[in-house]
Amino acid sequence: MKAGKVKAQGEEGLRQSMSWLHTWAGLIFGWVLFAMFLTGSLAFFRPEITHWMQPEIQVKPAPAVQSVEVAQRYLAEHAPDAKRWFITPPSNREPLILLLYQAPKPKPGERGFVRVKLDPANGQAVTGRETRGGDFFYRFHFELETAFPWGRWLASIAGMFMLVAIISGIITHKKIFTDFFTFRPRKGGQRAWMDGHNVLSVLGLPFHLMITFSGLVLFMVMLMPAGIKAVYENPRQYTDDVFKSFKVTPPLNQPAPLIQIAPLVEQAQQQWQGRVGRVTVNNPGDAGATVTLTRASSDAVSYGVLAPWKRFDGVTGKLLEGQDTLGATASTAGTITGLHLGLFAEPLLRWFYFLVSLAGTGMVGTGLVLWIAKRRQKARPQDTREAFSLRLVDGLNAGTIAGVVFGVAAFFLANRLLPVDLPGRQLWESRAFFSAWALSLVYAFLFQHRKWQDLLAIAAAALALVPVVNALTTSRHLGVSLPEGDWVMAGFDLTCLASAVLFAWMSRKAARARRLPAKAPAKAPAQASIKAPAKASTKAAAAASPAQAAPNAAVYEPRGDTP
Amino acid sequence: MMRYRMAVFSRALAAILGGYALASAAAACLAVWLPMGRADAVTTAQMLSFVVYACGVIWVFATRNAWRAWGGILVPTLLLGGLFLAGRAMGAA
Amino acid sequence: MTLAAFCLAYAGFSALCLGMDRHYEDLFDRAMPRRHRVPLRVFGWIALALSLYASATVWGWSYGTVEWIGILSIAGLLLIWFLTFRPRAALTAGGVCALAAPLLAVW
Repeated sequence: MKAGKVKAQGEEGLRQSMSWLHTWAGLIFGWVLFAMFLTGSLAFFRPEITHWMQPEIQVKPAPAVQSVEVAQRYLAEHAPDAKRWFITPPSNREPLILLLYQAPKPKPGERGFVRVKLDPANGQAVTGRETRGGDFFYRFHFELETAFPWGRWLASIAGMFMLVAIISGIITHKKIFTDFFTFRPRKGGQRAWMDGHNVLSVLGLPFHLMITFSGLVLFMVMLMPAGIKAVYENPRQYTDDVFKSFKVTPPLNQPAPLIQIAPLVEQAQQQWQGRVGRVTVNNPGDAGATVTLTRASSDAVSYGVLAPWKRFDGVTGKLLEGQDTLGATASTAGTITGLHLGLFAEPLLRWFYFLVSLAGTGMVGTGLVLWIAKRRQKARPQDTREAFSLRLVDGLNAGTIAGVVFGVAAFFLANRLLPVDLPGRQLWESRAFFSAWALSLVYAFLFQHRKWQDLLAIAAAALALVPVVNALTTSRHLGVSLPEGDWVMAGFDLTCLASAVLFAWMSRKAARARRLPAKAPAKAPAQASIKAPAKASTKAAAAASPAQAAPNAAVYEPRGDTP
Repeated sequence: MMRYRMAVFSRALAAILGGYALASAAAACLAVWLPMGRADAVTTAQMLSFVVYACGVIWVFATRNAWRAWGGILVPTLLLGGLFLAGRAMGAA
Repeated sequence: MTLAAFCLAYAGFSALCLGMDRHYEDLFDRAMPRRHRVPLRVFGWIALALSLYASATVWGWSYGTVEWIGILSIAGLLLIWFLTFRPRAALTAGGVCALAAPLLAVW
């Protein structure tokens, strides 16, 4: 295409150059972005996924005041010398009390932070099988399981490419209004994939723009130090200024008893007419101890990263400082980042987030397949072999689009199949994810002609197996969770099944397309459904989230996937 | 073909590296000049800098040739950088 | 009321869709008469706006706006899905939603 050769600055020239830019910006990081979008979608159900992965933990939530009392008792007994305590009281999504404390003198090689989960009913620590749970997907989607800080930088660069792809896509889509409702799968080939890609992109445009931009904003301290260095000496000063609630107050090095925190929590909740999301105690047991209460992120859109807070003297309980409302700029930044995190969303909206995010995943997937479709259409019939670039991209497409989904299923299967007390089992779960993905890529390049139908079928089978294996290895399967109304467990299993059905259907289409001669109409599957497991709702397959993959190769080019 | 590839490479450089320089200059300039408290100014400046970056990239690929691409990036970068330095000097004075 | 918001979104999109020549022709097998275009489009936009209002009455303006965008995305995707395979049913459903919305709002 012609970016460098655009002659006049006419409209055609702009559309063409933006089309070129859109194609390349999208392709270069397309596979990474696909994985980021899929795992990011799953991350919206982070605690729910963790619960499914630790079915032996069954706990009921308790109010914050009570929980904090329980937590303080536990911490006073088990971590009296810790420098900092963090208490996260239960919420409607997370019934456990989450504790974090900074061990004063960690042994060499051991981490300084200790995490404990408490049952609010009895204050005992609960243990379940060791797993990273939903955190695996959450972290992967912005760190790509790569060493700090490289993973985040890579993810951020991919995000910037995504932003450029979105903007150039908008500029180049000249029929954005006329084609708003247009989807013609029967036309087959490039046209069908293009329509599907457009629909997924345009309908989800507010979300896609928001999520991409806000993702960058979340990392802006790391990504854009110039702004900070301009007026501060170092980024730490800036973050201290902005995130005042995280200030680490110094100890006075004189012992003094820590005040009872629970009444402070009650007081704050009353005053805010909201919930306390986190309690931070600096230097418990010291005369200079402070207790900081931060309001729950779920209380408002803008509280995701920066929420109102109060700091009390840890011995006398006197209110030292606080912020009940955030300034205009902080609220704006808070809203932008809060929209990304989606912590404020209650179940219906959370499902919307998940489904539209899956639409975004489909947008990336259909874009990748469209790249192939367009080029296949232009390929000359007499070529005996497809161009290397086509084979490379198609292989990466199949290996990633089906492979990442297979990886997700493998992760859940490993969770159920690995022995509960196997040391380091969480590492094996992660390895299952990456192995499945890697194997899919290898398979895609070894079996060029059947890769789509096979890999999609494997992904479908793996997904379908998840609820089955759940039934075989635990007592929290659909037969139990549905009648009980346990929507976390049931929703998860049902979503796996729905996704399995979707992928099985896509696999069949790929197989059929392979057998059909060139002229057959392709039913490009830009259909709606849910890809990966999550939880909580009856609407299982109802969603309108178009899917990815399964190119109907035979339609638009003479060879297709046939040998 | 080689000329085309060089042009593309040149533009890519202008977009990726030049764009980042432009965004950084904008961030620094805004952080100094915005009439708000220090922290707020930086927060605003940084959020806007991503918009600047994106616009810079679009410019680089929308414009007629690679020279204009670079020009459109470097000139504003120098201007904004200059304004930032001026602003900082004035603030210190 | 959230259901009403959803129905209004679906109805609004259906109306906007019908207000386009190509989709009108798909449904009615004849060209769209001029006099239908403006009312259809006006109704469409009003329905979308009312959908936002309905969402705001339930969730408040800030949360409600976000919810509304979610509703729009899902309603739009659903409409397009149905439209592709059963255009008559899809657009008739739009009419049904338009009628159902006020009922759901007061219920």
